[in-house]
Amino acid sequence: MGWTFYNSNGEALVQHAESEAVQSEMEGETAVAKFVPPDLVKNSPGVAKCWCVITAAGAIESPSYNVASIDDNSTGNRDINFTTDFSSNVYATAAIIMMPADDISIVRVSGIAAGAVNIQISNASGVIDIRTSQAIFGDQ
Amino acid sequence: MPVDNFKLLHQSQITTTAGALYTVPANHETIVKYITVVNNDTEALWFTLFHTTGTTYSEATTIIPEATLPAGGWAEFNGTITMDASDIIGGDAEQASEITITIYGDEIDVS
Repeated sequence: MGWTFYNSNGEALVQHAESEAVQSEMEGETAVAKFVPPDLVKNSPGVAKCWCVITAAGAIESPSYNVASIDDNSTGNRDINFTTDFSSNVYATAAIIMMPADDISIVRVSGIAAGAVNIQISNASGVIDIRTSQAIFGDQ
Repeated sequence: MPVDNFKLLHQSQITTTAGALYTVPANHETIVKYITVVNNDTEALWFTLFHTTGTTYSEATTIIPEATLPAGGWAEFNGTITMDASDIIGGDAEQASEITITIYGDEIDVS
């Protein structure tokens, strides 16, 4: 048996990393013996960088994540503006309509920029305002 | 014939300057069995321990690198450290008069 460290309550201390990981290590999934602070969890490649629900009227619902604002451009046409931009216009947007009744609508991701994404909703009759949910993955 | 002397080998408060804490007397060999290091302060402080055969207190002789004890916390060593005559357990601490070290073992008279 070697050394054991205790706190003032006599509880044995478990070995732990004392230095903090950085964003590049999170993004690269680098195997380092460092701890991940809460504000860096989002930098893991598999974590959504933005998510939100937009009402049929084109307003954002609370809560949401990394959404600065919604532009309700026209019927079925919304921009999601990010608080923290992506590093490029290459990222993945998953979007789906939220409607209890049967409806064959599609959500199309149109314009994609580092700072915003445009989504458009339509059905057989044309563009339509429907409540939608979005989750976006990528690099910031 | 060797004579065992199980005893308190050393007790002090470690200073900020690396130096000798316990030195094996001439004609003796020592087996350290138990060490406690206590942080008496209200803030976390580190300490370092060395085992040197001379007077070198550096990375080359470190047995515990700068290890931080939480406020009011302590560390204990329960094992075996063998020492020859004139070998030294040395140490330093982040702050003086706050880290207490106590060393127990068998100081064997081999004269």
